[in-house]
Amino acid sequence: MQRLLIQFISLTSASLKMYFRNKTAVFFTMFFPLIFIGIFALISNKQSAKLNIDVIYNSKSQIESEFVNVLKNSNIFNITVSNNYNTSYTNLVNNNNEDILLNITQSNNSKINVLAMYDQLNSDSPQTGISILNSFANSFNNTVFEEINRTTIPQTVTVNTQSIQTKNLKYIDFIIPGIMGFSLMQLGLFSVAFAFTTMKKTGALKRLHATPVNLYLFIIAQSISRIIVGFLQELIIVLLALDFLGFHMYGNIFLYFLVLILGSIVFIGIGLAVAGYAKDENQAAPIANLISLPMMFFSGVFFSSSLLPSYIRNIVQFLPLTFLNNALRDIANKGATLGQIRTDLLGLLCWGVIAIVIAVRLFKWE
Amino acid sequence: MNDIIISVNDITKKYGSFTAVNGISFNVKRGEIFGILGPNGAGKTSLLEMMEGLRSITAGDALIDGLSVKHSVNKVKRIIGIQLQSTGFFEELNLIELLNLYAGLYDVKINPMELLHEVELEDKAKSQVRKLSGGQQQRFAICLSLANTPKVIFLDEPTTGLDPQARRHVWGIIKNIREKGMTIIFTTHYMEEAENLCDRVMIMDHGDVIKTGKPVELIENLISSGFKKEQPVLSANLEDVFISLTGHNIREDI
Repeated sequence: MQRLLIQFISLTSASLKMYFRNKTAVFFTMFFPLIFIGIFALISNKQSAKLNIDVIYNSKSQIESEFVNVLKNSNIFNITVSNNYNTSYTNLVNNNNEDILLNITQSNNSKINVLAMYDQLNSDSPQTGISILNSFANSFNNTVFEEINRTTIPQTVTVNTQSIQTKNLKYIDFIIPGIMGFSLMQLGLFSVAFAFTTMKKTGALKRLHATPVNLYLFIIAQSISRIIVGFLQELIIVLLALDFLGFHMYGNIFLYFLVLILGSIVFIGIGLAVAGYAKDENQAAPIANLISLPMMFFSGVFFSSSLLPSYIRNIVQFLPLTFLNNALRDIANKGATLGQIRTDLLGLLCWGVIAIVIAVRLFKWE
Repeated sequence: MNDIIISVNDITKKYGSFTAVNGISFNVKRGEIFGILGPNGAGKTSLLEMMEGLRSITAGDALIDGLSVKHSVNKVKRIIGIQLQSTGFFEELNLIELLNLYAGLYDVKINPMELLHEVELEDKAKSQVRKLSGGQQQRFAICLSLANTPKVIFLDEPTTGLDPQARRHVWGIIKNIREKGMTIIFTTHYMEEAENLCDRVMIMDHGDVIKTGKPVELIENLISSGFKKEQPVLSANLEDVFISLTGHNIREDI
């Protein structure tokens, strides 16, 4: 037992030393994801020119329709007529591209109440939109006044406002878990596949095989060193994202990292399987790309896989990176607990077992 | 103490229908330098790698210090040292770190500088293997095989690709190791190397043993069978000329 521990420590520390001496690898592992995030943070900061307003009519009366038409014709807002209050409200709370929710109710034949709900923290300044809305209401009241020629201005439209506490989620909240899952995949898949095929080609693995070291111990040591590297990488990303990029962590950060470690194991396993199959780097590279590219585009790294056509979505929902990204996002964005992400974890576990079984079966010392 | 340290019995290696090693048996005595000679493809490396536990044995077995390679390969690996024909080492580590890594794998305490001194590489202690010359790399490979103070050392073509000075330097090191009581098995296709180093040689071709014996005896047998070299034997050859022109002593940088 003690002998195994010494072998394990020797191998792990040697592997870590080798990793951190490879300056290119360190650069790509630690800074590449940050560059990615930087680019997407810039894109996401581009503000939309028009405020998006969801409108709920409760009774489709003439006054309601006229008022909404005035708003529509102003071309200042993007008006969407919604039928479902709950959906619209959820969209507002989750910052799903909705700035103001107008709930219009008719109090009597000649009066309507407009309740404007918005998020104070929304960077697209819905407050400005509310003032514009108020001025529209006033001029609408005046028009009505002139038309019916009354002596007092009737308060046909009353605008009330309500500030909503939202999660204030932005694109950065979407992209950070995606990039984190993605960089773990790249690290596990590529660094393991390349390191092992290189060791195989140069004979370093064979030389190791000449010592009494156990195959499993060697693989575990290599994997642990990669998990440590991945953990550091993810820690840097999370800290920078929380401090400087306005990333929100609504769930338990320990659970978040637990899921990251599980993801790390899965992708290291896949990397080992590739390394077992490939004879050298020239074979490892295309295979690793073939595995990673579809997941990079379809597993919800840069955009939600819900935007994909259903027949693709039905397939990609079973990919390991999809499970990982879904779990990470649910924890960070929605504060999901262990029980709520159990399906994703189960999916990851299955992939982990499959990958490791293949890796062990395909492993060759030379 | 048993005089025989290695006993190979009817060992066979087949790759599909091709027989690389064809039921070979031989013994190696403790403290011997035992050379395995033969042209490329004779089955030397396959034979060696079966004895080292690196390659599965199709049939037969080898006993090393009483331990069966077939049945207790990990125990065998603890008492042997190996230099492979072409070895890559982890590139980012320096010589001391590599020696410490391997010592860790054998769970033994070593003094890296002492081991490097054996192969005259103390001044390269902090270098990476790829920064060494070909001769230095081979010396380091031998040095690494000493990490677990093995009873038997297997050297697979330790001087192939080296220039004459570097080769002679390796010879000196091999002789020094033998002085410490270790048994050395090595393969080569340089005959003068075998003649110079080996106590006994085994000549192989096509997976079979053709002849085993002391180099001097083999030569005497040949001469007594009526063999004569076409040219009169000179007391020096071109290699001696080259060595004497480029320096008698082994150059430090090779």
